[in-house]
Amino acid sequence: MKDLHEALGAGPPAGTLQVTVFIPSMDRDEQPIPQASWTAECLAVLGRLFRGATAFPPGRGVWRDDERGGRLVPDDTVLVTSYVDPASLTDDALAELRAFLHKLGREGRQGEVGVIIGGNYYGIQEYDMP
Amino acid sequence: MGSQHPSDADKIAKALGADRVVSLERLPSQGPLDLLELRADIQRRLRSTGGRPTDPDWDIRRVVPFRRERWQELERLAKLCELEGQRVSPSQLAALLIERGLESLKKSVGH
Repeated sequence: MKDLHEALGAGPPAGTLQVTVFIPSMDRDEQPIPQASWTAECLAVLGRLFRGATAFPPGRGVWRDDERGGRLVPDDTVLVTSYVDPASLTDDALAELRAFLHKLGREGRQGEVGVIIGGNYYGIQEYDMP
Repeated sequence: MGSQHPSDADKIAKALGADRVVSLERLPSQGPLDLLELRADIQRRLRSTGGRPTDPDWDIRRVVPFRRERWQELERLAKLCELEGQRVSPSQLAALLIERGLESLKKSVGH
């Protein structure tokens, strides 16, 4: 069988690392946040850093806020995913991704902001000050 | 870095300012999608050249012992992995799962 990229008329495979950012719909006090604009900003960041990204429609979700007695916060989360060339995951790219994630956590008043990179989930609870 | 070595994960966690890291690959299962993915892998690898479908890359046969309950699990899973009448034997499934286990072990010890 031909290589898949050859069979598809595509370039050589590049994006082998999956990066997924969770964009929440609520803050930790169950107040809505502007999810559409956060999603647009996330798409712009991932698109700029990694050449492309896709936002999936919100799925029903829930998050347990352990710092507030394990209260369950309902959250219809948007997943923004990008398939990334591992070589693109540079220190500069991680710094820019960090800036976005910490801004989302801080300004979106989140108990935790999450991102999956490859086979790991990274949870951020303490945010950088601007 | 599709599956990261622990040092990669540490580096990324530090770069992102993450407070916790959860490895997803070490979970025994990530749900029903695992089974769909396993079934797709089996269908891709087992080929028929006239006889019973097999993986053309398998070139050694060995006798492997199992606990009865494990074999029964393999029988049940193999049945779930059948598609469009293509029979999947428990031993074929076992061979594939052993390969996956070895790959996973190699990744986790960084070789």
